[in-house]
Amino acid sequence: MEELDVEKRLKEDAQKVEMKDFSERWSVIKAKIDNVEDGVCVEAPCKQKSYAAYGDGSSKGRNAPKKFLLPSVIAVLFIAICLAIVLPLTLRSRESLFMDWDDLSYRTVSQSEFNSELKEAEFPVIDLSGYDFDLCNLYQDKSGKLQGGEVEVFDEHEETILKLVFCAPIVRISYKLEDNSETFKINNVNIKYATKFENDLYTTTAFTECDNIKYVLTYYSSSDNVTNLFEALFG
Amino acid sequence: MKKKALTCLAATAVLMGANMCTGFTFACEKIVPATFCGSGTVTEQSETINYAKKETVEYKIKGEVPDYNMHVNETSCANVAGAVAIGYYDRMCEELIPNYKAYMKIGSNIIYKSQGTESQAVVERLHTLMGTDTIGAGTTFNGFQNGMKAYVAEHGYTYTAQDVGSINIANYKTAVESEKPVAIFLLNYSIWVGNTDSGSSEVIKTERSSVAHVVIGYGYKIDTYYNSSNQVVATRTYLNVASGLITYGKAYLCLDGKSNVERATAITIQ
Repeated sequence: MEELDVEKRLKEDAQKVEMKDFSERWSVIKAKIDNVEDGVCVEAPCKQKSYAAYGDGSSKGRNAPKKFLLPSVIAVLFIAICLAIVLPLTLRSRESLFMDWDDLSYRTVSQSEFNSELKEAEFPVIDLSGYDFDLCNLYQDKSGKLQGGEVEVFDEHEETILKLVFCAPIVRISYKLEDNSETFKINNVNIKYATKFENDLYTTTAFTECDNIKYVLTYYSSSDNVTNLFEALFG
Repeated sequence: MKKKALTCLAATAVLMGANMCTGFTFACEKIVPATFCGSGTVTEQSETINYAKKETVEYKIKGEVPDYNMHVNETSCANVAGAVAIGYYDRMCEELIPNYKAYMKIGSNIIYKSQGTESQAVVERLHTLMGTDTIGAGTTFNGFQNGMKAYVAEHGYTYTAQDVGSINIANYKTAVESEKPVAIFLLNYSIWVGNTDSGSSEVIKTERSSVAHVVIGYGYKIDTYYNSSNQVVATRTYLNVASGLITYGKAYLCLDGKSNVERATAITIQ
């Protein structure tokens, strides 16, 4: 096939192009690689990497991990999310099994706050509305959930003092009954109690459970009338 | 990447250095002055005493003392102890806790009210006056004394503290038998938590804490055990204390090497 004029001209122009040595060309390229532009170091790590080309055309070696990076990150995130959902549920169920009375914190509140907070928390405490409290404490666990309470009534006229502590079934509360303890029954409520008489004073310690709430009661009186109190509270 | 690693290392080094410094400060404070802090972890212990005869001598201040306590994980044991002493003397010095009666009488019996708003306010005021938590956690011995003096003076009374040693049981007995509560400063302590007594063998259970603490003593119980030849085989001395801890309330503090008393002072407010 004959060469066209255009082809001849292209050949002549191509031969006129001056080709620099490799070292000169590389120095120009390297300068551009090491140059810092706008505070950003221009790197060309890919130019410094070596690749092993395999016969099947695939490119393995240092470039290969990139293929697994995204799936690995996704897998780790997925596991982390699963743990973040499952662990708190598991731990919460373990933590809520039992707690000690000593582990609770308390705050002193007014009688109206005492009644309203118990009502709001739907805490099934016995009806204490007939009493004028000298002290009301509410007890809560570390998460702020109401777990119990304490009230005191000092009646100088009747010469009686009532100290009543109550708590949720998951709270372990200790009390000590004297060896001469008895049981008083009213409305399916069994009250274990012991009374000692010393210095003209009757001191009663009692324990019972009512509607799953535990009660520890200490009662001081100049007369032996604690069963009247039990009827008033649990009747 | 290298910079991030270096930054992490530097931060770790700073944190470790801070922890070490804190530890040394607390260690120095343990020597001069000790700070009294409150509760901590406990270890259970027990001992068995076999005997043929046992005698008990005991005494408690009439009406005892109030049973106030610390909130969980607080360092206010000295403040609570001070409030206990103030609650006790409020019977005789009614303006110590203004507009508040800390007890009720039935016949000759005195029953104290539990910790409420008014008594908690005393604890909080003492926290400031005693300089609690200003040098390490807790209160120093001098901080306790200065705070009590200042609080009592604020309310128009005079506070005096008489040294009872660490602990001279004869001086302690004299103090409580004179109806004076005793502030006991402990470097560590053991509390009696129960016993089983068959009449010839007693198993005594105690719980020991290694945390410095302050309690108010208001009585004592001394058990003396004899063998069949009427010789003393053991003596166990307990002090009735308002522990300031919800776990124990009013309890027996064990002596006989089970508690390390740094100092004790009998308190008078008038």
